Amino acid sequence: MIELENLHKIYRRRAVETTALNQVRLDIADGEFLAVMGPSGSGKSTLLNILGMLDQPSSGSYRFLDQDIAGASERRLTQLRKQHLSFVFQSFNLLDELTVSENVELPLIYRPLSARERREQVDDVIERVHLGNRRDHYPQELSGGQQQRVAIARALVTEPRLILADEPTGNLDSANGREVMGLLQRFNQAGTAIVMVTHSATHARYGHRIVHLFDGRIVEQEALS
Amino acid sequence: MSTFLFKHFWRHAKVDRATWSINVIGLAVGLCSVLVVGLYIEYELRHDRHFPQLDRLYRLSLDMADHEGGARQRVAGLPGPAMDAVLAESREIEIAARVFPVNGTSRIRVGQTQANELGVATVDPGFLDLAGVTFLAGDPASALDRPDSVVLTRSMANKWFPDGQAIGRVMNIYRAGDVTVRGVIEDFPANSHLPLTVLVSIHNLPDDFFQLRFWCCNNFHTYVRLLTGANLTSVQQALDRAVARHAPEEVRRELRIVPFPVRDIHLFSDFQRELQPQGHAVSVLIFTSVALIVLLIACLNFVNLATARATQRAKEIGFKRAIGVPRVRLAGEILLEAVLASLLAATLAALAAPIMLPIVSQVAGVSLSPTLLLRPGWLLCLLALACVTGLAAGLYPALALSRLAPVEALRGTVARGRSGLMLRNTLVVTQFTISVVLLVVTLVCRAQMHFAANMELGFRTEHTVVLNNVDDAEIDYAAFKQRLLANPYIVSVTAASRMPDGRWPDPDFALTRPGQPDKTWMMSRLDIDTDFLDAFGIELLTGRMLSDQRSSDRLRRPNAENPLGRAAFLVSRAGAATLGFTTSDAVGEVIEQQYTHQGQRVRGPIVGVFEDVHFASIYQPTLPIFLQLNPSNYNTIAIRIVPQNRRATLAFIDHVWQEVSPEMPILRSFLDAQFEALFRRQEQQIILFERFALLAILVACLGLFGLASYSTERRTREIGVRRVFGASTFDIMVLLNRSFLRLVLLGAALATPVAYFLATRWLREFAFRIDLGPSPWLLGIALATATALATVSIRVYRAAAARPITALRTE
Repeated sequence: MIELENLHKIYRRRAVETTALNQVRLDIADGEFLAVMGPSGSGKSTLLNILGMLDQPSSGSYRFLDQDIAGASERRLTQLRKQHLSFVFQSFNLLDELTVSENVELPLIYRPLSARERREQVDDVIERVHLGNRRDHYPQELSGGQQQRVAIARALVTEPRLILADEPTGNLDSANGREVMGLLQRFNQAGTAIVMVTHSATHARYGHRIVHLFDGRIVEQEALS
Repeated sequence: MSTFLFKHFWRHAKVDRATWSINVIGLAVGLCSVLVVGLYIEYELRHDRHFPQLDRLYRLSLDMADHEGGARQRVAGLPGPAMDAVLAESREIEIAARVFPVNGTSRIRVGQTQANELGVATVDPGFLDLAGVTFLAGDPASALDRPDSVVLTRSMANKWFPDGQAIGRVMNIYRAGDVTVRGVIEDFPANSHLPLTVLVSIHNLPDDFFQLRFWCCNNFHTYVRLLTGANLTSVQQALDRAVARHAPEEVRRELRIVPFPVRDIHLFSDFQRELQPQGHAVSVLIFTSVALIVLLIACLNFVNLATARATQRAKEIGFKRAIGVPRVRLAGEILLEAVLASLLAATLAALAAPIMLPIVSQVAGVSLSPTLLLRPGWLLCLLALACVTGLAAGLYPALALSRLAPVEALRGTVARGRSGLMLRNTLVVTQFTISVVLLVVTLVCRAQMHFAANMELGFRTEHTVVLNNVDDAEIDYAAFKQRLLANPYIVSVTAASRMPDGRWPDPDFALTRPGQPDKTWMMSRLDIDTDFLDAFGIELLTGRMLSDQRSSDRLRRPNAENPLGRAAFLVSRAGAATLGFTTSDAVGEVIEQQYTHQGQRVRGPIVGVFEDVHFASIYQPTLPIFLQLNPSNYNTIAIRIVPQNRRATLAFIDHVWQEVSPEMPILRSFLDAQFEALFRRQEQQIILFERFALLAILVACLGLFGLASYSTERRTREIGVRRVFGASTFDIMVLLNRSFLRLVLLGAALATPVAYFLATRWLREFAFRIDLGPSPWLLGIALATATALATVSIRVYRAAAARPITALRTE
């Protein structure tokens, strides 16, 4: 599904140049659950942002479903994102003014669906993350774990081919963390590919493969059974 | 401490540059508008302040009820003998004097030099004292005592006697003859209702001069200075007695002399025949309002942005409250910041005013020098205004911010409440209500003026030269006409008692039908030459033109021996209808005109009906009118020329006039220019109004831009999240514009009834007016909406089009 070749990402701020990714070569298969680990500043989030088409590489090639992504227009990237990708963030990024069901519905309102179709999909996915009794609550009325479940529901509602999760358990206690990982695993088993950045070795082991980054390079790849 | 505050203010302004620029620029535009309009209003209000004891100075004018209960007329001047009659009846008059002005220019000759001068008048010697003139040379006590005396203003003396030796020199003035300069006085200021330059002694008029002897013509502008403590009621009684005892019986019941304060002449006079067009209190009110509106909108911006930015300052305020700074102190600091911003704006306003002043002067048709701004009094006023503005704009933010609870403020969980949002929305709605009202009213004014300029008047005005002082020149009209028509560039020459010049001849002629003596109809009358209708292209509907080949067509006046005169009548379509005829059956009907109160009449048939004409354009309704052939009453001549060779043709007309009337200077003008002049004042007002309306909208948009910036910044994370989940740039633009659009449309809805009220009030000034269709509203609302959307979009686009990661990273 994804082929990265010689990927570079360099940030320039005033006179200082920082290499965030250096000659990254990585393939990700359809339906794969990939965990990305590494110390702070190793380039994990940068890699995830580029994979999620939120950021552009400085050089190298990024092929997604056999299409070259590097240098594509913002409009084209928006379209691809809308069709195939979804995101889960460490800080949830739920909109405070919207209820649980409205937050989950958000990605659907930019698609040509009727209100009924939207509601059915939202109800279905909210049930799947066990938040049926909280659909009319606002995010600030939920626990961290519940908020992240809402964020996962929002990521799943469009039935994406790939979910990009940036430390989805980073702000959660262990019980909530386990619950969220269990959900992700279940959805992966249902066919959705997942790329997850994490600091937790335990949570990384939910995946099929762990990629270790250091100073912007892939230093190790570990296949899990 | 104060240094610390100033430093803090400066740093704060630097960090939040955009908001502070918007606030300061908005306030500067508002203050500048008030400053410039203030100067204009000062100029208007200071009219005639050069007269001493202005509070006791009155002009006696006429309030006339026309006979047969016709419309009342108010005329600036009095009959010549009225002043003596008034002085005989009242003991409360300190001094009285008459000004008998020349209408138009007067020919003056000194040696071989000759020119036509404006501002020549014959005055009583007492006028010099009454007007408080400053003598530069000559004896004030005796300057106008002799029949051959003349007093010149400084610029007139310098013009005619550049060697500076005017006193004792002789000049020849048309009608006054040779007169000797016995005084030179300071020029009358530009804002005087009496634009006089040459004052001839009233003793110069012959003793038997009919205007002096008879209560006939209301040409003497008569001024009185009342004694201190005089009672206006008893003065009015004396004026009524003066008419009752001294005026001839036939005019007594029509005339009333009324005192009118000289200080009110410029802005409030509703008298006809003022010496020059006067100002309008309504214009002063309108301009004051729009300037204050611009400032108000700028203040609303300030309140809006200051409260919107409260979140950013919450930490600072929370901290200050936590360490024990009292609320009053905090509020004072915030107020001080507002005043500092306003003072900065005032400095900018003072610098910008000299640029704005000439634009306003030119449009308003007054002369305002930028040096007027430098007077210490004005600078103090500006300073005071800036402080008041700063306090007004800063008051609410100071109260609101200083009221924040310290704990919440420190936590940064304030000012996202509904009340803050509600206030901001209300202010934006207010601003756009005002903007849409200004826009719509401007558009209605424009449409009405366009309608006026393109209105079918029913007669030709173009390429028509009008000669105005024909009766004074006593020319042989027939010979003059024949000479002119010999020129191939002259198409037609016709004459009348008055030309269609933008004002209806007074409808004060009573008509009856034989057999119905009790029923009278009031109509206007013109005495015309036979080719009048042809020359003006006025359509004859039925019947025939008047002809000098038929002796019965020519007016034969009634007199004591023969009280029944004879004439043929041409009536307008409205005239025929007034008399109860249809256009087709009016011809041949006999009607009578009441000629005098003693029962003299003129009887004759209607020989033709012509199409209605709009003599007064849009300003007065079309009145019924009849025409008679009466060569003894030709006061004006209209000459239609071809557009080519215009200069030579005009020179030819001047030349022929000089030949037939060597003494009387020609007074000519173009008819279309006269009509254009009718609209000019209105047009100037509309242009000025339009400019201020644009300024108001500009300042409102500045505020909207500030709010859009605030709103966009506040919603950065939301924009990022929405973009990540598939929203396009356009989706985000729609999202952010929608909330502002709602406010603008609400403003437009509220503006509609207000604009309707103002527009209909204004349109009432015109007899002919546009129908108030929806187009000014739709266009006004569309313009306001488009401007608001463009303003918001400029700010929002950058955020919406940025890569989503930028937005999320900001968070």
